[in-house]
Amino acid sequence: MADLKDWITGLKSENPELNDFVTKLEGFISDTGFNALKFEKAVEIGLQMKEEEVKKTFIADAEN
Amino acid sequence: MLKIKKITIENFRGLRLPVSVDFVKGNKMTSALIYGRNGTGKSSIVDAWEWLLNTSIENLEREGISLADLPHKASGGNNSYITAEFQHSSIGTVTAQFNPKKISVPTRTGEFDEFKTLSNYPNFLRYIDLNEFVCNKRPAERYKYIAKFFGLEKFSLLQDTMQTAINKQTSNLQNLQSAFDGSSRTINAITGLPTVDEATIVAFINTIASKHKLPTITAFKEAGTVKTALQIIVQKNPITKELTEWKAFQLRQNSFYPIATAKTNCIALESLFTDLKQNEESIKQLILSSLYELSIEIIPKLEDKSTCPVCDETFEGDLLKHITTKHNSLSALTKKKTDFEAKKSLLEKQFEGISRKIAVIEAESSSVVLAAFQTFFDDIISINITLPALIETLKKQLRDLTTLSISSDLSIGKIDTIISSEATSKIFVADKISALSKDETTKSLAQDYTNISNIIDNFRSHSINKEKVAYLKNITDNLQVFFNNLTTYIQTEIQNTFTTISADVVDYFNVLENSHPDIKNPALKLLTGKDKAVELEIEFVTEKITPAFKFLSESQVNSFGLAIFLASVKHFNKDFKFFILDDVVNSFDSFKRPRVAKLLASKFSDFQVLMITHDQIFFDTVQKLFPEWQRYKFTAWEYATGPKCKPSKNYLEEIQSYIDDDNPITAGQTLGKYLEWIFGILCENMETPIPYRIENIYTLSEYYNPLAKRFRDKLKLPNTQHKLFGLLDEFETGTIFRNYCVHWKNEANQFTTEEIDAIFKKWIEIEQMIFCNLCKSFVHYESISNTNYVRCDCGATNLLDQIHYTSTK
Repeated sequence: MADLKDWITGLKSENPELNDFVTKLEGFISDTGFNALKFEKAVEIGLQMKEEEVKKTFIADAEN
Repeated sequence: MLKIKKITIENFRGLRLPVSVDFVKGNKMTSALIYGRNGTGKSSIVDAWEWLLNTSIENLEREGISLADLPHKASGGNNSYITAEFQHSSIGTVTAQFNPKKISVPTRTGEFDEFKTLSNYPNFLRYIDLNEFVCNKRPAERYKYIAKFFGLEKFSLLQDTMQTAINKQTSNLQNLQSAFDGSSRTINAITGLPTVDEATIVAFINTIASKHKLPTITAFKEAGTVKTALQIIVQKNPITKELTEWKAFQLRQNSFYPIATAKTNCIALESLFTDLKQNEESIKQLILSSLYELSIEIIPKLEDKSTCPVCDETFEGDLLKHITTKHNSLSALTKKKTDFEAKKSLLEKQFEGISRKIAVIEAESSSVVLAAFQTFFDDIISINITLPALIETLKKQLRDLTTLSISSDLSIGKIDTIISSEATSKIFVADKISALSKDETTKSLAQDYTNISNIIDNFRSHSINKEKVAYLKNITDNLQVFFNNLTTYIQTEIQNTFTTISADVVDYFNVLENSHPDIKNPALKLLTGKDKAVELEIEFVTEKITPAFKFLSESQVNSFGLAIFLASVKHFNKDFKFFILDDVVNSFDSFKRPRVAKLLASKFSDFQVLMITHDQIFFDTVQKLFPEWQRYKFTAWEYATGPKCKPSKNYLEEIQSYIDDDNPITAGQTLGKYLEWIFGILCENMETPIPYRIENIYTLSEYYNPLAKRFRDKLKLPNTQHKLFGLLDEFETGTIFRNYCVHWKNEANQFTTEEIDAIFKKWIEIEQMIFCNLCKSFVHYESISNTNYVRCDCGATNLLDQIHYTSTK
């Protein structure tokens, strides 16, 4: 049987542009499938960070 | 090569005392056959095997049975295990023991990891899985089975779970995009310009600043200074201040309404709840619904229409009508339960929506507005306190709810009050704004302040959502590329694997379905445009039929499914040639069941098999064809001990044993049953004409005489004597066979042990000539292009061969 890890390694090698993304994604993949809950939390944190970054650009506004 | 020697199971599911299945007989590795009526604990063996391999049991999980329920109840979770012993250079024993402290992680001992590397593919098949695979009307379900059979289960699982994540993130992205578009539209409406960027916003703010002689700004982050300065001007004018507050509230009010009444939905849900609770016992039976549905399809095809295929009990009366009534009653209940769940979910979403709206409007801080709408805000606070508890109630399962009375809750009445006051309150706010807007300067100042406030809020939201959309779009795009690659890989693997094994699938299908020459070339078809959809295709005469189950009988599609499973096992399980078939012949027509055994004999002679069946005739067939197998009978089941299990003899061994024990009556009766069975098979094989009997009861003579004549007719050649004729003559004249044929059922007629032994031995001589041990089949008659054949299925035994003749010249 083809191993899931081997397939992912092959995918990264054939699509180098996906390399970083797939490496991050591997943290959510196991023999029991894709950990959607953990992934959702990670995405939520990422979105929150984006919001914080944009809000920082309004800080001068607040100080004034 | 890994060979299995023994499986021992204790305290698992229906097995209490240790049950051992031996795969060694006379120092040789062999297979095993287990017979037992339904409910004697046979399937606990395949359950334990699946648990050993996967630490879960899929079909039990589907039925809501948790891992905690796997040990025998009386064991309290202690000493519940399966042990498999092997013959291998480095794998000796593997044990999985239930761990009460961590039920999802059994305690494993022995060379488990090494064993798993050699037992990676599914090597067990239950009747229920086979039926689900071939008869399930959803191609996606079939896809799951194919992925499993072809060793792609982990890939398929990843595909499934990832699809859910993609759907969720795509939906999140749409929501963010929608919020982004909404803020863009609001900004466009305020500025009157089609573009949304910092320069446009700054220019707009500066226009207002200049109008009110305020300092202008160069960047958006300074926008607050203009707003604050304008606010000071507004504060100095009480009318403008109040006007801006009412305008801000009007915006909130417009997004708060409309709200749909919840009372009607609550009452409808409560009515369904009361109805379902009155049928609570029946609800527990809903799990049987699909079995009843299947039974309705199967019963008309059964020969014995009095034995229930669901519980295996005899039913006096019209079984089909009985099952149909049961099914109809459950169907109505299923519909009500589905309706209840849908209404419950709808109401839950409705309450969550109201909660979100309340969160927006309760942020109101204007003392003028709060005073004018005091009752409204009091109601809002009251509803907001109660709603979370109501939502929690709606999240509960039907079985966990003892009562349901939402409609009488005070907050439901208050929601209706708020709904009924929508028009009045909107008019009130509009009148207030109108009254306060009479002075143009005041009105203009208020509008400028409102615009500044709104444009700042919306541009902030716009900027945040723009970044979020870009971030999430990048993730969903990459996720989709990954998913597409995964899907392509699985589909390619499925197609390639099927291409590789298709010759075997066709071969096995033909063995099982050789009576239908027009049905051929079974194939798998991946449905284009769908990620997870597989159909079974069959060729009928020259036309390809998809899906196959629309055209084939249940028994025929099961042949298809079994052929795919066995071909996969043969293809993948090269290092561990072992598989378990649990009651898979259940759905096969009775005449087809021996073909399953013949298929195993001809194509899987190098495999070890654990065959489990509750069909007595199939058990007898396999016993006869594979005398070298270990055989067990599960005769009964008791809670305190589990199944009563004993080794079993086949017919020939049993007869010999009675003869050895000098028990001619039982030996004679057992031999009679055996001959009746074998004569029936031979008459069919030889296409022997037999006089029709309406009661369908034939004596041995009525079978034997036409059969013997048929052999003589078809094997007769000039100037030669077939050796079988000599054996038949000796059988008929050298024994008391003629007398035995008439009286074997009558215990009053005493035959001696020697007489029964003589008939038995002579028949065995005949059987050795007409039975092929290679393909496990008796000879049959066929005529191809005007040439007659009397030969076995594989052709190794051909009675028309010259070696079977002696010259009479």
